Amino acid sequence: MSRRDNTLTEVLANRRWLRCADPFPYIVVRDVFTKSFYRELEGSFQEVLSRGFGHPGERGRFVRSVPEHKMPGYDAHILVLNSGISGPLTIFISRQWRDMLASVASQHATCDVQCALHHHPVGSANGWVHTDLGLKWFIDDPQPDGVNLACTGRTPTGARQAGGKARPVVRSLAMLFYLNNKWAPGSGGETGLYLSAHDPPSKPARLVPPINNSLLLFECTPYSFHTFLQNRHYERNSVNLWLHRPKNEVVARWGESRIFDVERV
Amino acid sequence: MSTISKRVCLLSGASGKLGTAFCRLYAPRYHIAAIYRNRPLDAATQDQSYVDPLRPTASLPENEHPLFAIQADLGSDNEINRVVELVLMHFGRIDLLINAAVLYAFGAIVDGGSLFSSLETQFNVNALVPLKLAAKVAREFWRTRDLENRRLNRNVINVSSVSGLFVTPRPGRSAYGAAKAALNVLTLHMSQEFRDIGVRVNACAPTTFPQVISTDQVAHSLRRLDEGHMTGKILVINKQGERFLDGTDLAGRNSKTFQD
Repeated sequence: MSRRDNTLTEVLANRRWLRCADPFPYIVVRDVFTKSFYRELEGSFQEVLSRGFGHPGERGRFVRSVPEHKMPGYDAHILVLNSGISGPLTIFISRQWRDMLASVASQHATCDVQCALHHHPVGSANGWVHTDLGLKWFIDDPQPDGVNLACTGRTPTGARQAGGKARPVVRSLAMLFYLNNKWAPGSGGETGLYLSAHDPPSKPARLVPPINNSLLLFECTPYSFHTFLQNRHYERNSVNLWLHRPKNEVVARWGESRIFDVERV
Repeated sequence: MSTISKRVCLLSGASGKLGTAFCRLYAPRYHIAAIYRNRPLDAATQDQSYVDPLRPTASLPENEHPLFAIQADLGSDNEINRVVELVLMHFGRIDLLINAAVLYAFGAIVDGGSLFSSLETQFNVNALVPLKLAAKVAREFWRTRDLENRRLNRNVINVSSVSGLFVTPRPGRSAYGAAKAALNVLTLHMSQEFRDIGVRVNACAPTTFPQVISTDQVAHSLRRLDEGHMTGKILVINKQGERFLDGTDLAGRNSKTFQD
C-alpha cells in the first residue's frame, strides 16, 4: 500500500473549524483542504465511481448493500476503504487524521477506524433520524501506523471463521466529508440535524449542505440525531468515517440500551 | 445584563453577505446582536466558536468578540417583539439598529409564478419589518431617553438598494424595487418622527455587491453612517462612488443623477 506522505499542515487549507452547540455539539468546516489536494481527492473518488456498481461483497466497486450497511431507509452505494487502497483518499485512514479528529473533538478514541465512500444517486430517499451510536466489531490487525481498519465480514461469526476474535467497540465520532457534488439551495442532499428521534426528516433543526471540500464532525451520543435528506437534483457523494471507543465506556455513560448493533441493523 | 463598553448594534440579516462582512469587520467595535433566520452565522457566537484542528487548545482571535446570535423569523410580529426584548435583556440598551435582512424573488409580471407568490413577503421583509423593528425598539427603549439618545448618537440604518431609486434595465425586479422604494420613503418619514426622540434614521442604497462594488465597501459605509450626524439621508453607493440623497431627490428633481 502506498500511503501518502502529505502532512496535515501541507494539505489543510482551513485551520478555523467552527464548533457549534445546537441542536447537539458538532463541527463544520468549509474549504477543508487546499484546492490542489481537494482536486486529487475528487479525481480519486471519481475514478472509483467510474468503475460502476458491483455486487454485494465485491471489493473495489461501490455496492448497494454490504453486510454491515444493511440499513433500511439508507439509499446509498458504499465502498468501504480497506488496507488495499492507495492514493489521496488514504489520508482519511491515516493515523494523523485519526489523531486530529480525536483531538479536535476531545475524544479518547481507540485506533479502530471505519471509513467508506458513500454515493447517493439522484432521487435517493430521506434516511431515518438516528444517532450513529452503533456497536461495531473489530479484529486486531492494525496498519503500520496503528490504525485498525474495519472491513467487510468482521463480525463475531466472521472472526471465528477466520480463526480470530472480534472485539466490540462503539462509534464515538462520525465524520462526513463532502466531495464531487453539485449543490444549490433547494436541491437537497443535505445532512439534517435534529433535536429528537421523533422529528420528521423534513423538519431539521439544522441543515448541513453537501458543499464540496466541506466537513461535518460530531460525537456519537444518544442525542446526535441526524439523517441524509433526499437529493432531488444532483447525486450526493461523501467520505464517511467513524472513530470508536470501548463498549464498556459507553455502557457506563449511557447504558447498553442506547447502543444499536451496526451489523444487525 | 452584560457590562457594556462598546456600542450595541442590533443587526438583522446577519448571516447574509453584508451582515457577515459587517460582523467580521466590526465585531471588535460593537456588541452585535446578530439576527438570522435560516442560514447559520459564520462567526463566533454564544453557541459556537472556532477551533484550530491542529492546536485545539490554542486561543484564537476569531473567538474574542462573539456575537449574540438570535434565530428569528422577523416576518412575525411576535418574533420582532421577542428579539427586541432579548437584546435589551442581554445588553441593556440598543445604540444602533441596522435593518439588513433582505428577501428577493425576481420574475416577470406577466408570467406571474414565483413573483406573485412572494409579493407580500418581499414587501414585508424589505419595507415593513425595518419599520416595525425600529418602532419596537423606540417603544421599548428609545422613547423616554431623548437626551441620552442624542448624546450617544443612536440611530437606525435601513439597508435599501439602488433598485428602489430607478427602474433598473435588468427586468424582473418590480416587487423588489418597489419594496425598496417604499423603504426609502419610510426612512424619510421615520427620520422626521424619530427626530423628537433624538434618534437619527438613514438608509444605505448600494448597487449590486459583490459583483459591482465590494461587500466590505458597503459595510464600511454602514459604520460611517453610524458615526456621522446626518439624518433623513439615503447614501447611494455605486461604481462611481457615494453620494447622499434626500427627500428632494426622491421627489424626482434629480432623478437623472441615479445610475447603477
